[in-house]
Amino acid sequence: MTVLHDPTESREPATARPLENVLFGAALAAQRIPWIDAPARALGLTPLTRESLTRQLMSHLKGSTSGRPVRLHTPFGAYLAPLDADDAADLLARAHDAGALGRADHLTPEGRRHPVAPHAAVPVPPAFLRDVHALAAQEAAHLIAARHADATVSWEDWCTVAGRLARRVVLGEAAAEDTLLGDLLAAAGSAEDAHEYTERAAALHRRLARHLRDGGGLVDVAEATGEETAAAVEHTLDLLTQATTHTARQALALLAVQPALPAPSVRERAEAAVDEALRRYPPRAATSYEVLAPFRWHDVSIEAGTDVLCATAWLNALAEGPGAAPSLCAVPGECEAADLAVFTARALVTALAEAVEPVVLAPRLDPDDLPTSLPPATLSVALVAADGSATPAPSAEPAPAPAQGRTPAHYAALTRQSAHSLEEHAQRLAECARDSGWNHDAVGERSRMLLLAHAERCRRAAADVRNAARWLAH
Amino acid sequence: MATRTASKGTGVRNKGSREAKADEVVAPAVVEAPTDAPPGRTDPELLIRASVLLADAALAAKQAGAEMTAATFSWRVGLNALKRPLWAFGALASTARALTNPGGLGFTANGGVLGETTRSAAALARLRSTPVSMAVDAFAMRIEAAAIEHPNLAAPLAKDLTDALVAGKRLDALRAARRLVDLMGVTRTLTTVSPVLMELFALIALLDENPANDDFAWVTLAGGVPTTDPFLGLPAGLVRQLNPGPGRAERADPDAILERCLARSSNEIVSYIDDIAALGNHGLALLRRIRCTDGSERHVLLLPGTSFGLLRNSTTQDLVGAFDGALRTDTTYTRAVKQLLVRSGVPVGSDLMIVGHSLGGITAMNLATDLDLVSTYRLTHIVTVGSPIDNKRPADPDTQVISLVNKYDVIPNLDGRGPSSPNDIPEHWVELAWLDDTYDYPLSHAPQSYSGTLRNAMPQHREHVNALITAYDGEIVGNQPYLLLDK
Repeated sequence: MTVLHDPTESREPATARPLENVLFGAALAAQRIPWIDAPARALGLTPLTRESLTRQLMSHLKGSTSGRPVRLHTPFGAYLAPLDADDAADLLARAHDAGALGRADHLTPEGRRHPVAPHAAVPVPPAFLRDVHALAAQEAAHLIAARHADATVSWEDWCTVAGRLARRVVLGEAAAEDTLLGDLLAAAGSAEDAHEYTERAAALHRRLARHLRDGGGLVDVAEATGEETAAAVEHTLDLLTQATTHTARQALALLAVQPALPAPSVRERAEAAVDEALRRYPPRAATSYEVLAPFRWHDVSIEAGTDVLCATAWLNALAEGPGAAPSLCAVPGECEAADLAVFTARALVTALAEAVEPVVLAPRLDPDDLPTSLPPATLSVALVAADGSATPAPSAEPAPAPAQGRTPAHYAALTRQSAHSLEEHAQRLAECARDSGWNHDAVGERSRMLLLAHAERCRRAAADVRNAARWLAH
Repeated sequence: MATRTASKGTGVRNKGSREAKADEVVAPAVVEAPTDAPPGRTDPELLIRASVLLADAALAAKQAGAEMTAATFSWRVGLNALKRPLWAFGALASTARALTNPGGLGFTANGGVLGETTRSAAALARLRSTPVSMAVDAFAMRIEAAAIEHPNLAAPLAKDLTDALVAGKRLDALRAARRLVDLMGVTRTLTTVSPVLMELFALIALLDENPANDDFAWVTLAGGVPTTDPFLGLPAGLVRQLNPGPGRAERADPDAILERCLARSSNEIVSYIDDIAALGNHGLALLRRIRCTDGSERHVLLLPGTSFGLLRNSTTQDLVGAFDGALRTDTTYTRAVKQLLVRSGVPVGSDLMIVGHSLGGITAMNLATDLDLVSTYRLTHIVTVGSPIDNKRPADPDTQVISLVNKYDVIPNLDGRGPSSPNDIPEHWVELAWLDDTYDYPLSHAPQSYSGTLRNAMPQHREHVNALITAYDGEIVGNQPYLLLDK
């Protein structure tokens, strides 16, 4: 806590100078243009990257206002921005206690505002958590089975499995395959305004109603404690889905590039990676809160109508030392739904780490200089077997197009897998050609010869591709 | 990966299909397709299995070509090459050999700007790569398998046509087609080749000099919705430009014939199809309100198919709209239907069933993929009649899809899932198929033909569908036609 406390006098929050307003607006605008600092990165000019310049600006603002929250006027709106993570949590808690905290909106890097589902949690008994581990292990096995030839799991497949895990935990087996529920949840989370959010939430509630009637998962527990509500289930499902789709994937990447985390067992390493992912890459990097009624925080008076901007990711980057991981829930204070979400993400990462070794293929991560944002959709993490082989079960989905502009080693790994795949196809074609069903007529014999010819071509192609892989790997 | 899970030749495709086959009623002109090859002939199932293996191998070879092309043209690899020229020489020689060895992958460069440019040049020079050869042979095996089930395809003139297309000899194919038309006429020719029409289109796309349309063939091979047409390779997005408009629904008054037909309506599949026939193809759709026996009020939408008069007209039921609906899911027809539901005041959360013929069935499936619609209403059933819908999936996994298909009809095969396609429908879908060669196309496609078959020759299919839609039994309290327009 850095704010001085004067119990007798309240004052207005400090206001930023015009130049500071312009710079802060520029920092917000730069979030929408990810490539804007590409020349600085390419030339290794780290102080000129977006992250570094933003950190410098925040440090300056913190220093010039003695750490107090500052009022900022930008082209994207007027905000009251706390400049310290602890201050932000404390200010929001004070507003919540005073009944002044209104709607929260998630602010995306692209500048969109999406209403956040209201907080309403269900108490989770400890016995329930045992089932979560079992479910996470089952879904981890599905993820491993869904790997492509390069041992990566596509973002779509990851979201499918992670979403199913969240539904199984919260709503039970009956909701496992209800993909429409996941789509409605995602649609509600990306609503453009309050009106659209209300409609999407209503559609989600209609869909949830059947599962609430049927019971299963957390719903049974809620009934046992008498506190079941559709809002609580929705909130819990929302946080679990975020944690399993976003945070777990980021945690795998951190696990891969930071093997020296100070934790001996796989479980502890996985849990530390999840906490690190939440701290560095909170699912909601920035949230704005509407203040409905005036309240006082220490010696600062906050008026009604103020928009409090919690740039969680920027505040975490500014903090000295690791600090606590921010809650998944937008509302300050204890949230059992958020705790369950983190627990589930940890269980999933642990189950994966116990079965495979994650290897980050893209983007290139420097453990000493991790990026300030790590979009899970663009992460390519291979799940390699413990013996170093990456042979997955054949996937029913077509392999993604190979990325352009990668290193020779990357293509060597891909082409090695392709050579193996071509060998397998050659064997299958030859085996099919041996079937006695081709013996009956000219069509059958012609087909057999075609299969054998193609088997031979696959075999030669496999040899050529393997040779090329060997050269690329040198 | 192409897969094959359903058995061929059964009239009913869903769990428990064996029971339906046991009590079939077969009339002289309407039969279930034969399940086994004649003795002394190769089993079509074996041909299909081999085509699946070849398709998988073709896709794997294409992927290998894409990876090595990416390696060859990667700037990082180039940077390494500058630092280590000897290594670069070896790496380049090995990848070039892998990409061009005629005994191996053939000329298989693809992917990325430079890769696609190389592939286009190869297409213009008619260089056939190994993946293309495998794909062509996979299609050829599918055609052979289809010819066993449809003996017309094995007739000499039809064989000349398919053989010419497999060989990539377009002039010979044109001549063979001309001879076929001279002998059988246009409609019988279309009906003859309809079981393998998509395979023939794919072969044309793959073996011509136009590289832009090759994606059509690869999608047909692996299953899915094509993103281009098979001839010019025009992207699906371009079709949208040809079918513009926000879609609009206007209340319409039924004419005397329609009114008489609607007066006899009931919650019964033959009645629904007769009502669709009575609506015609000039832009009308029908919204029915039913006070159901369980006390709920439910709604049924009837959606007719395409008008073949003009390529484009002011309604949503034109040929351009049909192409649009096949390639995309957001069309003037779907937008007009959504406006119809809002305009008519169907309550949010209502149960809704959509019955569609031809383009109407495609539109029903497109609506089922629409998250906005399925989150606003509860889409319980889609019943499609003669519609190519198998390459799309509803957003709500609980929506019951019922597809009625006359295998002699040309249109249902246009989704790429012909009688010899290895790609199958989800297990919980109900596909009721039969072979009625009473009429050639286009009569075989008419809704009256379908309702006649269900009424007379296939009452078991009629009963099956009716048993699935009993939730909509009740008193009809409203029958309102709407005119659906593009703008």
